[in-house]
Amino acid sequence: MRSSLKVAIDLLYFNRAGFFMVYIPFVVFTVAAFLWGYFVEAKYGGGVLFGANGLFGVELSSLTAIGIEGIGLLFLMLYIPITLDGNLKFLRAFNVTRKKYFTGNLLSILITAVDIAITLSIVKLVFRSLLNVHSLYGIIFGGGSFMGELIWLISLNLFMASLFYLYSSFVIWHVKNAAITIVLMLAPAIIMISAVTRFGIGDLVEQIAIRIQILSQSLLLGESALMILAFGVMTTICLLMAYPMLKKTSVE
Amino acid sequence: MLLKFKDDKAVYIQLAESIEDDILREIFNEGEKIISTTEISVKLKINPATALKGINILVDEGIVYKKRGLGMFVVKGAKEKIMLKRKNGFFDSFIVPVLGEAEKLEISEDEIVKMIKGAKANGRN
Amino acid sequence: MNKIEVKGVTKVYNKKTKALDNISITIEPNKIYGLLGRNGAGKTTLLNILTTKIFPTSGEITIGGEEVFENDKVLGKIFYIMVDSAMPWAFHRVFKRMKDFYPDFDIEYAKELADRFDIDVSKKSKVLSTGEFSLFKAILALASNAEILLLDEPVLGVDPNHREMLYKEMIKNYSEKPKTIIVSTHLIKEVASIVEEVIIIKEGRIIENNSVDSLLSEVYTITGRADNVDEYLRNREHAAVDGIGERKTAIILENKQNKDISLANKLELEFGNVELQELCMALTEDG
Repeated sequence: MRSSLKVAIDLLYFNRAGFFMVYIPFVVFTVAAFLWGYFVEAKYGGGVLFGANGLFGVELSSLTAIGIEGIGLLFLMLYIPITLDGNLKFLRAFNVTRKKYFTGNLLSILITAVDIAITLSIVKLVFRSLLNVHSLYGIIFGGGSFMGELIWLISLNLFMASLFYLYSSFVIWHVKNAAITIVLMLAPAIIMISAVTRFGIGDLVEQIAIRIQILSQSLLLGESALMILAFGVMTTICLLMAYPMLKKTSVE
Repeated sequence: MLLKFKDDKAVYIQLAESIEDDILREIFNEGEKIISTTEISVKLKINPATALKGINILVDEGIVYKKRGLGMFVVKGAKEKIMLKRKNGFFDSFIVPVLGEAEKLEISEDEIVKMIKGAKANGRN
Repeated sequence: MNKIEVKGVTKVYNKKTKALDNISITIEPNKIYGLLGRNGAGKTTLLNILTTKIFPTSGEITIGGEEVFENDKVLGKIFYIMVDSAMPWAFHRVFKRMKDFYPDFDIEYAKELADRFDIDVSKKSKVLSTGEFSLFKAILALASNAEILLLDEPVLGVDPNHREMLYKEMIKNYSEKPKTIIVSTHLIKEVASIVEEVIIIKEGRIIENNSVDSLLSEVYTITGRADNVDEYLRNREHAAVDGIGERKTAIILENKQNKDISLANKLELEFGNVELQELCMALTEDG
């Protein structure tokens, strides 16, 4: 375990240039998005942002609702495939087992996911007094709790990171065609953005909120504990599925 | 010591002979340490096992011996041993080839003896 | 303890191309091996399979009796960098991280070697020439203190002066700290006196696996007038027949002790020794 952590740190260290290249714009973009959301809401007070309904109609509430989570997920969707591809060099250069590489790589990604969650929570905390920022957590559970937001974001990011690790591993290691690989890598981000902009999030969020509340009451668990548990289970399942794939992959 | 090898005899044999030459020339004196196998193999760019093979010939013939942890040393009386060994081999190594070549070129025995005497007289030796 | 055993390894690509065909060899610990063969013969494939970078279609590999696949303990004993890998990191940082993979990595020694070989460790691999990168990998290998070093074309792009330095350093390192070294190369002449054992691969098959001494004692050359050479060659396995004008020379593939000296004298033929590169070329000729 200790050595996997060492590999993780090595990978994070080696990727630090790439990380900061994505991370800094990400922070800038996040802050800009919040500020923009503030001004737009202040000026227009909600409604549709661009044009008429249909293909380009953007429901402002949808966009800001998925705001915090969405930015974090977008980052992960871009960062994970990039580093996964770059980290292949690692296996070419050092004689480590795929198991060690897998756990190290995964750990580095999960650390990144947590880092993003923390960053977003802090940004929100800083801007909360100024803006009426939106997040799914706020809409489902009612805003106000920094710890709640943090736990939610960490759990969500861990799950999405592992899911994305699984997905990216499949694409990068098993799809031989470069063009198809690029399309598949960008697909989730495009799908997420278009889904968010085209379909109202409101109903879906309501459904999720109700279900979580019912479940937490029947299990006598706090909502936070439930989230951690649920995301933990889902994360583990993804990881277990990813390793066997890696075991069969050759590095050439 | 030889730095270039000929291709007629195995490298380790040539190595042993060249160390013997150095002992005869008193570059390595009796009781003194000779060059280590590591130094030999690095200088000559050969596998250390080959160097060791050459040294072991000398060990087997009682010309050098190994002091644990210190290296290889020249045995007392090694120089005489080498000279004796070479004297015994002198005929086969040097005389036979001369006679063979002389026969090819149709040089008579008397001519050979004259050449030898002349060389000694002129100091060309 | 570190005996490498390759048992019946075959590697097939796309259901038809056999990169390796039923390879079975044993590599004894603490010897310097030359893995020789022409480009594309399968040398790199074998090294990649040894370190589980790619998987054999059939067969198995054990080191010290243990399977290599997904075995950190065994893989940790081996130093191997794939020949075309790049390291997008500055070298002096690589030195520091090497200790994570090779606990006995000697950073001071690595820095000293870098200095001696004129490698600027503040650079990253992508700005270095092929030769400098090769030297860098060689430095990592020697400083790793790993028990098994696999070097694939270690002097690719390296100038003769540094090549000489590298061979000498390798010999010194090996002499002072015995380890298994496998040098895979097509530059046979340079490594001929350095390797103790050779494995010759031709088109995915092992055609020789022997010590250099044994191998070269089992061949000799015969030179003389063309028709006389032909007579000597009758009923004798031979290779690489070559000639200028009336004279011919051939490599006889039999033990030196079986030389027919009287026949050679009668035919006025001369015997000679074969060099490793000559022999290798003769054995790996097409057809």
